[in-house]
Order: sequence, then C-alpha cells, then structure tokens
Amino acid sequence: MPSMIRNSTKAADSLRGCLVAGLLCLGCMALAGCGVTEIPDSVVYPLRSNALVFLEKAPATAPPGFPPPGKPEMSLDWLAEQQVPLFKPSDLDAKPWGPVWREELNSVLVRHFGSPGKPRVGAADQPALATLAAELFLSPAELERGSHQYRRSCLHCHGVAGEGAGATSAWLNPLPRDFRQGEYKFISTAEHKLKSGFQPLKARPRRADLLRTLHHGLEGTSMPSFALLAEEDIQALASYTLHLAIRGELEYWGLLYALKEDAETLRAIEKNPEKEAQVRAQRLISGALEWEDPEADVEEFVAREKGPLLTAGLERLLERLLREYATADKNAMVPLANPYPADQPVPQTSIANGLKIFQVQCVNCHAGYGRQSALRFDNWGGVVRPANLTIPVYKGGRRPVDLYYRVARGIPPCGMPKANLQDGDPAHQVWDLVHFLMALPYPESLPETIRRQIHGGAKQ
Amino acid sequence: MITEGTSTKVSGLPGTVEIAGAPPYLFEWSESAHWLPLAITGLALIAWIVSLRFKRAWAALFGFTLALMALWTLQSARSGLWLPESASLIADEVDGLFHLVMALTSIFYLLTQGVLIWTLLQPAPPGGRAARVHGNHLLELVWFTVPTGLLVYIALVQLPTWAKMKGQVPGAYLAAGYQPASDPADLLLTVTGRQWEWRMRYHSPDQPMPVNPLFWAATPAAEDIHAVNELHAWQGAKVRMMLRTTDVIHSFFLPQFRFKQDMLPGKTIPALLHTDRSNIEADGTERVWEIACAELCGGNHYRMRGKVVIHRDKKEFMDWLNRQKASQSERKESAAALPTPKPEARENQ
Repeated sequence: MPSMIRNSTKAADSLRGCLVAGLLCLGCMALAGCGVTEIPDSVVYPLRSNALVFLEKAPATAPPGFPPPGKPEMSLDWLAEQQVPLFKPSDLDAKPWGPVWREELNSVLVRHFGSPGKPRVGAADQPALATLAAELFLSPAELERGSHQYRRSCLHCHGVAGEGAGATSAWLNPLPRDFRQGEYKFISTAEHKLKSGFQPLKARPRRADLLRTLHHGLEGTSMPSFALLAEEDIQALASYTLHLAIRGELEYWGLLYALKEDAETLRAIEKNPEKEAQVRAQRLISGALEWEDPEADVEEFVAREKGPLLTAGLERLLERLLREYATADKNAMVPLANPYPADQPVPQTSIANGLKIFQVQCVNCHAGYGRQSALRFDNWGGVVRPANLTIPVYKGGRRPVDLYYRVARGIPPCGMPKANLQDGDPAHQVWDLVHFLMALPYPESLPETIRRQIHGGAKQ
Repeated sequence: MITEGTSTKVSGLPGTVEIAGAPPYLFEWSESAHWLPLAITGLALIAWIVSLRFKRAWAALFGFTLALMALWTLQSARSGLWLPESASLIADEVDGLFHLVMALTSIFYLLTQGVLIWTLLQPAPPGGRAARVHGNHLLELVWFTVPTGLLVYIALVQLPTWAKMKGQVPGAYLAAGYQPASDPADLLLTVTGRQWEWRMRYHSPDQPMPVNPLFWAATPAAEDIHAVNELHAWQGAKVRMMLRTTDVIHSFFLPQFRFKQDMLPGKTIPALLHTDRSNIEADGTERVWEIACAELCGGNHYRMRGKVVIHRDKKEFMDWLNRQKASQSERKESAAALPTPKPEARENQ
C-alpha cells in the first residue's frame, strides 16, 4: 500500500507539472498575439522625436566614413560638428508655447491621418481634401489594406510611421528610406521651382515610380522586389506609402516652422516677441500659399481664419501637398528622343562623346568612374556613396530610360545635380552620356582606347 | 490546404503567358489547418495526462505517438500532402532515393519502438530490481555493421543522381574540381540569392555559349537579360544554373524538380536542371510551381519565394525572353506606365 500511495503522489506531481507547462504554452501564444489580425486602436503613429535635418547647402567637408553598423545616428553627430543646425523636437519644450504647438500638431495629424488600424488621408468633414485624396487613391479601405500589408512586408525596416528606423534598419547600408521628408531619389518627375527660397525644391513621384520600386526593388540596396504580391496589395502599399509620406511631411514642416531660425522669422518675432507662435504659424501659412500663388496675401488668409492659426496653416499645407502629388503626372519628365536608331549597335563615337561629358560633369563625385567615390551627406543626414559605375548594378533600374532620368534630373536628395548640358544638341549629349554609362561596366563594349584607359591594358 | 495544381487565369494574347496577380503558393494554411496539428497534439497530451493515473503511462505515451505519426503520415499521403508533382528527369531517381531512405528508417523506427513498448509492458521482475547486462559481442557487431553497411550503400547509390543534379561527370569533382558534363546545356543563367529575393541573369541566346560557365558567372555581359524571382525555361531544356549569394547562406529549392542546393557566400555552385514537363496548360493557364528558400536566412526567409515557369516550347520561352529584353532596353516610358496606372475603381471608392 505505501508504494501505491507514493506512486499516486508522483502521478499527481507529473499531472500538475504538465498542466503548468500547458498553461505556459497557451500564455506564450496569447502573448505573441497568435491569431490577432486586427490592429488595435491603441497603436498610434508616434510623433516625431528625432532631429530634423534641413540642409540648405551641402556641408563643407565629407563625412569621415560610414557610421558603424548599428549606429546610423552617428552621422547626425558628424553633421552637428560641421555647424549644420539640427532641429530637435525636444527643443519645443523649452518654449512657453511649445507644448500647445505640439498638441495642436498632433491633433491635426490624428484627425487627418488616423492610426495604423484606421488610416485615412483628410478628415471626412473636409470635402476638398477628401476629393484630392480619392484622386490619389488614398481611400480608407485602400489604406487599411495597405496598412496590413505594410506590417507584413515593410515595417521591420521602414518603421511604424515610415521613419526608416524599423528593427532591422540600423544594420543596413544604405539605410531604409525615411518617408517623412517627402523626398524621393528614383523618380521621373522634373522639379518645380518656387519663387522665394524658404522651401526646398521638391519633386513629387508619380504613382508609377513608386509601383516600379515595389515591383523591381532597388538592386544594390536591401529593398527587395515585391512583384509576387497580389497586384491589389502592391497598389495598396503604394497608397499607404503616400499616406505615410504626406503625414510625415506635414509633421516635418509643422516641427520645422516651430524651430527654424531664419532671418525673416527672427525679424518678425523681434517686432512681436510675445506672439512668437502666431508669427511662426503665419510663416507656415505663407509657405503653404506660396506654391500656387507667390503673391498670396497671408494677412487676408489669417484675417479670414476663425479657428487656431496653426491648424488652419497645416490644413492649407496638407491641401497643397495633396495637390502637388496629384499633379505629379503633369510634371513627368518626357525623355528627349534617342537620336541613334534602336535596332543598331550604339556607335563608338557616341560612347566616346559620353566619356568626354562624364569627365567634365560627373568625375568630381564619381572619381575613378565611381571606384574611388568620396562619401557625402544626403538630405536625411545619412552618409551615401556616389555609385561605382563600373559595376552593372543600378538602384533606380537598368533601362536606358532609367539612366536617362538619373542623368537628366539628377538625384537631388543626395546632392547629385542634373547634368548641365547647355551648348550643343542636348538630345545627343544626354544620350551619349547614357550610352557611355551603359557600356562602362563591360570592357568589350568600349572602344579600344577607352577600354585601356578605364579597365587597363589587358583585353578581357 | 494544398493549392498546388490550381491555376492562375492568364490574360493577354493567345499563346502569351502573363500571370495576373499573385499565384497561390504550394501550402496555404487555412485557419482550420493551422489548428489541426495543435489540436491533435493537445489531445495526445490530455490522453497521456489521463493515462498517468494508471500504470504503464510511458508505454501508453510511446504507443500514442507511434499511432499518431502513422495516422498523420497516411493522412498526408491520402490528402496530397506527399511529394509534389515531378517535373524534371531526375525527379523519379530522387523520389526513389527518398522512398528507399524512408523505407529503411521506417523499418528501424517500428522495430525499435516495438521493442521499447514491449519492454515497458513487461511485468516487473521479482523483487522489483532491473538486471544489469554487460557486453554482447554478437549484438554489438550487428548494430555496428548493419547501419554502417546501409550508410555506405546510401552514399554510393546516390552518386549518379548527384552528378546529374550538378551537371557534371560523376566523381570528377574529387579529381579535378568542377567539370561540366560533356553534353551542352540549352540555357545558362546565374541565380543570385539575397535577403530576400532571387535575382536571375540569363545568358543571351544570341551569344555563343561560354566555354567556362564559372568565368561567365563572374563577369556580367551587356547582353545579359535580368529578371527577379522568376525562373523561366522550356519543356525539355537542359538549364545550367550558376548559384551565388551576395549575403548569407540561402538554399535554392525547386520542389517540383526535386532540386535543392545551398548557396554559399563567395562560391559559385553549378547545377543542371533537365526539365521534363511544362506547367502551362493547353488553354494557357499556369499551374503554380514555386521557388523556395530552404535555409533560414533572416527575418523574411519565409517570404523568399519565386515562381518557375516552364514554357511549352522554346519559341514560347523566347517570346518571354524577348519581351523581358525589350522592357530592359526601353528608351522611353512604355505606354502602360504613362500616365500613372491607377488601381481599378473598387466598390468602396
């Protein structure tokens, strides 16, 4: 009998152990969010907390290197060492009106962009914004689909608010794009100019540009191709990316106008020191109005406005941003016709001419045909390296027309200017340059003398 | 649960193959399928806990496991979760090897489990003490020689299949490194794995086939044709693939071709695929054959997929290749991209 009792206690112990283990397993699954597909309302877009970079001109000296893996923010310290002003959102707290400004900015963002679970562009009670958003395919249903797909495919690099600082981002080079500045590298639209210079010149992407990146990825970076997703998902991702970009840019300007110390703003504040917040909000409004009408009367706009000034300015700016995106197609760059026939090999003279242009226009940055390129800062405060053009890896696509866009419109956010082709026949010049770039990585495609010069004497 | 064999409707001109939307993949777990293994495991656990109240609990556990595995295997085979359709000339050989190994391991598994259960069911010896057994030369000799003989047999019997997969003279690698088998390949391409996609570079058929594919793989040519996540060939083609990776270890897995090969950083690994079947039906619809990564390569490893399209004949393949080439050499934006293509108007807009 005693042994029976011992046995049954043992069995009871095992039983308890098993139950505890089972419950632990279930608990872990619940913690991991097993089976949860809805994004809860408690998930919100965080308000920007990292420093804003606003480069009016390129820093005087090059960065000392790439930041070490895991420490991408180091490049901002290097920028600060070069007396480039960085605008820290935390500086708002030092100003008496700062917390109010921040709260107002946040409430505008929440009202017009919702949350990851319920994303939208433009509050429902503002028909003008809703119409523009619909034109850009930014309907709530489309964005919700995009948001779910974004969480699966993009979040771990691009982050919740598109800040390019997801969990894996710090170990990538080049860094994932921060969408929140409204700047794009590989697009096909020409820049438009503003008369006064407070706002940088920005070109907006066509939807086709975003779709191309999603379909093909960016070779040579960590951005893979998503071509095997359903077409509807790719479309939804393009819409959601626009949503994040527009939200981020509104936030960017909202914070920048609160912190920026340009001469005109400082003068206005000096005249009216107790009304600094209003002065800054008015500057934001003038920036928003300037795009469509450089002579627009800010005073009149302010006089008409009954509600809070910052909210009115941000909403006006949002409308402007949406309008800019909606007109991107009209700004599409139409490549000059290639003067050389497509069905024949490119003549060697074209390649040789291209080399001549390259040696004047490009070689300063793409030293040694890109083999010895010097590093530089980009508009996000990161470090980039002008491409090594002797390797046939093209981030923005390998079609001749892709290279045409890179050459003819430049890549302004990382300081690559467009080719300056003033005298002579521009069509010939720009296509000569493209032909040279396309032949450059392949020694056998280059004329004999050029091959020697670039790839050394030995014939491959 | 299994969607292999379902088709994606193809739009476009007759004879051309344009796949609309994403193909369904080999295994699409439905909600119920997701919970099935968990439910079975849970039931087994509960059964075992209950059985702990009785004698012979451990025998019961092993018995349950054995029965469940047998059920699971049979059910998988019955419901089509067994090997996928085969599409390469070596597939039958590989399946034969798989079944051989499966049979051998099954015999020994059943044998050892049977002995284990039998032992556990034995009544306790008088006095309740176990006997201590020392050394049995005959038994030790048997369990040494039999598995060794079997392993050597498996190692030898797979050699010709392995050489065919690599497209090289059997045994040549040991003697002189990579030597392509003498019969020429019809198509040459590099497959470069990277986190998380497959980039293909096809040798242009207008150019003479390079003598040394390893050298070609290291030196891109202007005429090469590039594609992402899509492996195209035609029925009956001998496809020489040079496998590379730009970052970590990936494994290039083509289930229908019974082909799996690791890609190692710094190495170019040759392989040969002799396609046997097309996945395009007479009406132009495409059965889904996927490329998968079979080596954990990072966070999105599970999404590192691609698709295989084996065209019905070389002409159809060349049509695709020429379209690819044309889109790669666009000098102006194609009509489709101007103006911006918009998603179709949906109900909710």
